[in-house]
Amino acid sequence: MVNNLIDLALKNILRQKTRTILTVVGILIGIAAVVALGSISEGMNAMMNQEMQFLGGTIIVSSQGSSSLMFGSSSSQISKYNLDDFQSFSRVKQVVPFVREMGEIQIGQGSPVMFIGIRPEDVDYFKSKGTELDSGRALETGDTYQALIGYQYAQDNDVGIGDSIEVKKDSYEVVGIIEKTDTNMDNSIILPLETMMNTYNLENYQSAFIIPEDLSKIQDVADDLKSSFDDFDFTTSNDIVKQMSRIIDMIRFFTIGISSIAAIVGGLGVMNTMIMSVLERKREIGIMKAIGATRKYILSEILLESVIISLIGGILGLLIGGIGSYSLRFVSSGLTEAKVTIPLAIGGLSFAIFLGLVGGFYPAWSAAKLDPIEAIRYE
Amino acid sequence: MSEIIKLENVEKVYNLGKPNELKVLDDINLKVKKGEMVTLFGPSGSGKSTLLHIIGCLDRPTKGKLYIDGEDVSKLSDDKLALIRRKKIGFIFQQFNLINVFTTLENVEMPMKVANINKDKSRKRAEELLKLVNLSERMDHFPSELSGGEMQRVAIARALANEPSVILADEPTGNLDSKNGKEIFDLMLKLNSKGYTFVIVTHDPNIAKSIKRRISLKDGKIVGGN
Repeated sequence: MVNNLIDLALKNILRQKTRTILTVVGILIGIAAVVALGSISEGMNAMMNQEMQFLGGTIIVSSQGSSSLMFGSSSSQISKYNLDDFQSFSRVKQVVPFVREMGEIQIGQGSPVMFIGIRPEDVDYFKSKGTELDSGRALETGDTYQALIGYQYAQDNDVGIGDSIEVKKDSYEVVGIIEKTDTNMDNSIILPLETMMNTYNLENYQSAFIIPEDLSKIQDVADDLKSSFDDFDFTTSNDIVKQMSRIIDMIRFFTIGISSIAAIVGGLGVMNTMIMSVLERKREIGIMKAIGATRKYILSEILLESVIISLIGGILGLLIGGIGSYSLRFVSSGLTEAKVTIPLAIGGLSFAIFLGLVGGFYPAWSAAKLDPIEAIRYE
Repeated sequence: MSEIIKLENVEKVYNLGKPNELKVLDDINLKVKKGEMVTLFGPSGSGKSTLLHIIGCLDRPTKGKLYIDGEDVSKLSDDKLALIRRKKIGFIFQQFNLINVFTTLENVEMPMKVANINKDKSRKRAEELLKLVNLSERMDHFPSELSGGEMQRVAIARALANEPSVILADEPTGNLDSKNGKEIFDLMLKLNSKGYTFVIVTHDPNIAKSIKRRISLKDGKIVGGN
């Protein structure tokens, strides 16, 4: 029966080609929007997860008033004395100070270069967070005008180990290349903290990671720090996850919400098409019933038509949404992770099928319960 | 011979219990045996079409009983009636009622598709039936490319598709000129001689008088020839 029904449904769909194509386009736009916009929030989620892997188990300190989310913003000021205070605070294992400076934005080169200053002796901390070298060596205690460079930066600028790079007036020697991470790290340059502060004329650290002795007590340590140092904000990685999750959820809500409206409009298009189609075929449906088609047969046949239409729209929408999402990577460096995940693809297609079922149900039902005698007389 | 159709005290009332209540069939008793050809004859408004619809399981009697092949079908659900129509009834309409977007062959295959008969088998049978009605060379034509007589022959082939117990014809020659009308009637006679049972509604006196068993209806009652 299924083969017969599919045959018949396809034949009927092809009867009004223009109308079918327009209906498919309606669904296509909706599903493409769902997929493309959905991929943005998926991408942000993936980016956040990567960042969080890096930040996991740390308290980020910044001076009060500077944004806690944008940790290490340049307005934040931590003196060497503050650092000692943090280091000697109870239950604190390690304090890792750093500075960051944005390099010149290079048009057409993707993300801007970020200069990060860390103490060479803290290199182990970053290694423990999964940052490995592609080639060369890490920074070592005693290094001054040595630098590690990100993978992408090395590729884009054709810089290798032993080459020197100019930072302001100073020249640094590249000693290592960081392996590809698909994060901002790929376009970063890591310099020894003290020399970088000289180069940039900085007196204070911008921010620091504080690692508690017992990771399960991270929130307690952060709270203690807060009550002891009024001038600083202490944000745990958990807080950041919460804040970012909230923002990503909002973005997800809006993108999925708005694109769903587009898709629902597409679904109304399917309903409209099927209502028209049933009206035009009223007499035929009467004939089908007279020759023995049950309600279920008519219902299934018409539902199948609307599901086929919306599934074609869904598949094309998925492709176009995927292309759209891929193009976004080139438009915005912040969305390098925008991708169509399998759950998103399945969700998009299921949504299309759902729209087909919902849009087709009313016309299919009204066709199924037609009185054959009346329907046959219909002109 | 066994009875294919049996009606017992069948009544049909439209708008039952409303001010515009209308009784279109009253106390109809009728038996049709296998291999018979019967005509329902009468002026318009006599209820012959309604009677044919009831016999064809397109409509239900308000009162009384209808048996098809011995089975009481007067109270069956819509879907059960559809199954009875599918297996036991073949329809021929005045307006032919072919589906215009399907070819001749596809139109004849349709009842078999609905009955979920496999593709090869239904194609083969449709080809045989079109041969039987002398339309083998018109299999890939669409209804719009056929004459009225040809369309009605396709409809007859379609009516035979699922080997029905009875073929019901509602004014089968009503839309045809006399030559084509006679051809169609001759075809029905030929099929009847092969054992097919026919109930034919007509007000064409030429046809009515050529059928041995005539049931006359007037004002919803059988008034002669039972």
